[in-house]
Amino acid sequence: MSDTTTPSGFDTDHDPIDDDMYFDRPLKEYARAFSYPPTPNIAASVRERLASHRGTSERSRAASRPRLALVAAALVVLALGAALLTPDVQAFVRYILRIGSVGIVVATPTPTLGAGTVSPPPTQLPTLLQSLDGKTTLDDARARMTFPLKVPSYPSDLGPPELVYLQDPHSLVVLVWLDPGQPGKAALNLTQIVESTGLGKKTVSSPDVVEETTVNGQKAAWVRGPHTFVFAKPDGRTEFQEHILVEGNVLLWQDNAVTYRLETGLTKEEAIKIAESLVEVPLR
Amino acid sequence: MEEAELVGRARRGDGDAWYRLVGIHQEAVFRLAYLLLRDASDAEDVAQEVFVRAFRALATFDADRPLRPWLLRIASNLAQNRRRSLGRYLEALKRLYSAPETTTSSASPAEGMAKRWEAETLWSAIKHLKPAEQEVVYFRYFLELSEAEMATAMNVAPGTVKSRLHRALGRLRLVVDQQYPALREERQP
Repeated sequence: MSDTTTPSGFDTDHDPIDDDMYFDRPLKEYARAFSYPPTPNIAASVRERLASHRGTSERSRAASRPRLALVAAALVVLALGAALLTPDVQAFVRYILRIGSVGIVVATPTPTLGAGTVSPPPTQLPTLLQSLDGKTTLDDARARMTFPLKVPSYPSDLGPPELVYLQDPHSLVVLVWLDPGQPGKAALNLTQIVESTGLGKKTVSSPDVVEETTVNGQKAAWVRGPHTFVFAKPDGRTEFQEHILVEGNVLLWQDNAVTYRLETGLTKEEAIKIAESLVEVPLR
Repeated sequence: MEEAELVGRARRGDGDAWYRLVGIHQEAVFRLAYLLLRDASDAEDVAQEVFVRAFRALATFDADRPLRPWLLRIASNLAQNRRRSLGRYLEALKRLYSAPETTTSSASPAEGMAKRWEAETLWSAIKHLKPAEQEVVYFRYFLELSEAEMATAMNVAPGTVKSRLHRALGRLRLVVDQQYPALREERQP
């Protein structure tokens, strides 16, 4: 510190580039004098909350955690093995394709959903997504994400997403473009997931609705029409298992360690064009 | 008992092991949430949520690493999300009208209270920084994390910690110079 340093530590004649030295000592001093409220007994509250969840049914527990359900709906999360499924479900499913960290399984008997149409209407903005936790801006998501955030450059007039949701630990992001002609409906929903984020399965009613294709020469999957997701807790327990209806077609592909899921009412060809047009959002 | 052993036991479903870990880390988690949210009630809610979520996600945690930075990362994420929620602002507004808080940034510091006044004024100045800048200042100076812990808590490389801290301090210096000159001048001879 220079001779002009005050007793409190702030140098009033500091070198403009020496901010760290300028602040270091007084910041430490002041921060140590900061008066926090007394720390509540968090352990007791956590004990109560965790205990209150024991003994309830799988379904009621899942219903009591809407955010997890929301995440499951938005993620089309990640499949790591059949051990994640309950025995009764496990008996009916088989993998047919795996793209990145998303496994696609066929479940029989089929859920109450039929196979989809080739060109369904624009995706209904899922009710759950409307209250999905982690709503933010594109710039903030880019700054906080643990991997490069990408957006489509096709079609050229698409513009930035209207809705952005960043999920902790910042390794999953959901971008939503609303349909300008139909308020409340999504035209595109692009989810980006870094590998190892979570656990789950995409479940379809029939292998016929899944078509193998390519994005930038890499293996991809085109899933037509409504289908369900199965979501399981990371440790393999099934209490968070969910079956979520998603309307619309989905293109799944992988680029390095990131798995992409594009949900849209567009055709496969258009979806692939969009997928191949992804460009990184610059960090501002 | 070592932390890694407690984590291992908690992973196997031993609730008592987890509650011991909560007791060890609850102060740091609560304080970070309080610094970010500026409301003790909100901070308590977030702190609870951190430990509930962390328990459920223990299978994804690398038990060979220290737990605290991971918990602080979750706390930071949840606090940032909560800060953006409209409901929180409405609740804060209600509290404001029911129990108005006194501000300390414009009051003269009483004798013996100078340090506290400075600390709270500094806190007010930090509020003018971007969320990511606030976070790095809190980690470094208020929670006194090491560079490695900060990198884990922020989920960035150590080099990024340095550059982000440098930027934050540069911005903070401008804020203090322009809006809180009393903080700089208060204790001049």
